[in-house]
Amino acid sequence: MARSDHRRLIEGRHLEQEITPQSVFEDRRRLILAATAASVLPVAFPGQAVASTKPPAGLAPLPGKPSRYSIVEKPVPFEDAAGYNNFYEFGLDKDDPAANAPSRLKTNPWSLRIEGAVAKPKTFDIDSLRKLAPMEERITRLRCVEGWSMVIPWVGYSLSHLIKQVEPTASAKFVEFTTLADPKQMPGLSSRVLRWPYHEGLRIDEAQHPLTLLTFGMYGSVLPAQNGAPVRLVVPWKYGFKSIKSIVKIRFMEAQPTTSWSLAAPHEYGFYSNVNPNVDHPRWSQASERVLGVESLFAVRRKTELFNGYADLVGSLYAGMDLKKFY
Amino acid sequence: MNLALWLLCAAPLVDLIGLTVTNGLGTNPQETLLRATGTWALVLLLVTLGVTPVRQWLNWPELVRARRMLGLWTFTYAVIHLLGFWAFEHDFVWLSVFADGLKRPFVTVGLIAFLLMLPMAITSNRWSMQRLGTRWKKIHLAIYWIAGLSCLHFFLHRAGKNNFADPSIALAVTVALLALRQPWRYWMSRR
Repeated sequence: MARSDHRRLIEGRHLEQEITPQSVFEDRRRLILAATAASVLPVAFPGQAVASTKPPAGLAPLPGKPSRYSIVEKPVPFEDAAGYNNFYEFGLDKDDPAANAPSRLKTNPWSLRIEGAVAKPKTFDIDSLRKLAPMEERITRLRCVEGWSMVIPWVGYSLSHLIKQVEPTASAKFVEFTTLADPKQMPGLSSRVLRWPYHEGLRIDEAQHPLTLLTFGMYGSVLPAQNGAPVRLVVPWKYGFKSIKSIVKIRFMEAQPTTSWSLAAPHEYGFYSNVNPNVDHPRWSQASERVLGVESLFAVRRKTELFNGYADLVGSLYAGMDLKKFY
Repeated sequence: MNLALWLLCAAPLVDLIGLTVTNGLGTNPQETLLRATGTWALVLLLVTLGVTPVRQWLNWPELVRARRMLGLWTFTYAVIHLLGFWAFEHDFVWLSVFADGLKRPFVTVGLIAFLLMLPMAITSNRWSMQRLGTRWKKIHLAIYWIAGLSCLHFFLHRAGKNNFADPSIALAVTVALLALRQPWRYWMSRR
């Protein structure tokens, strides 16, 4: 089985390089087991460690061991992942966060408070939080609700490791996450686009799912400010805005929390916001996405996959739910 | 003067071609191209709309000769804008473009503005002017509708982030240019 997986992956890689019609490789498995990943990756990406994918020297290294949840895709150059961001606290244009965040956001000291329906509420400083569990490097596709995607190598560990430490009580059904909101550091807070502080939410089983990554770095270094330093979430089967940045508070609660985007436009952004090609945004289609970091201007758009390709891992969380209703 | 104006109109296009060739359009080059051509089409549309008030104000009738060129450059940027939308957002499928136009007001408004521009561009030659007579003027009065629809298109584009500063400027300029026009002022002074 492992052998045939090898062959399919290597063949899939070649097919993709030749820009074969989507349908040919659509069904190929994107998720692979750790053993396969470790042995195939060097073969699949001989040129992966090119200079342009490396972060600048100013960011402290943060290595992680290869993760079983990585997809076999080539990450975008570092400059793209760190230069094209939505982080409205630092401005509305895609290049605003890279221009404003690094000089303004103070990420050390940083504390993250865990509160609400837990047996052991606690405030972590960023150093002890980093040491809580071993770091993994996970290559995942960030699918933005705006219709583009980027493949990024994140570094972090499953949020479940942190959740275990604070021991949620029986009434903990949901988890609310809150971003820093400091007008002195964040010029974008004067804009009334969203309700500040930015906050997001997950159902407790979503938060405990191993795919939900508490993220401290990318490209082998700590997160740049504009990517949500020093600690953010990566929830790869949901639209990017669910992957909240620069978290200062995590609250366990019984009732479903509100989220900044669902308050701003309830009919456009739901609580779940799972990647789903069959449920369109009211103002545009979600059936396909533009893959960023691709050389050709005229590359065919990628067909968006249900749960961003993680249907076999997270589909059961939504069994019996009408995904058009719970968008 | 016409040569200088022609070069000015061509400059953004030359710049965009240069950036495309040198990979300088950023992380989302398709988006950069779509937005830049849309912005330049709107800017040139407003400049075209400004010809008549400026001509009357400066009492400089020859300026009308620049109007056709400005209009055709507006159309050029609008064509590239639409072709980019067709290529980048719809993988070169026209049917998909028109289906999108039926579904999303943002696209509907843009397509209507373009369709109104098309007969203006086709009849922009001297032969059509002579042949069509008074009907020519009717066809070209569509510019007022096109200006309004283009501003609306711009507002709808920015609706997601409630970031209306730029569309508001475009709308204010449009309103100002319409208010400066002779028939309107004549009508106002009679009251």
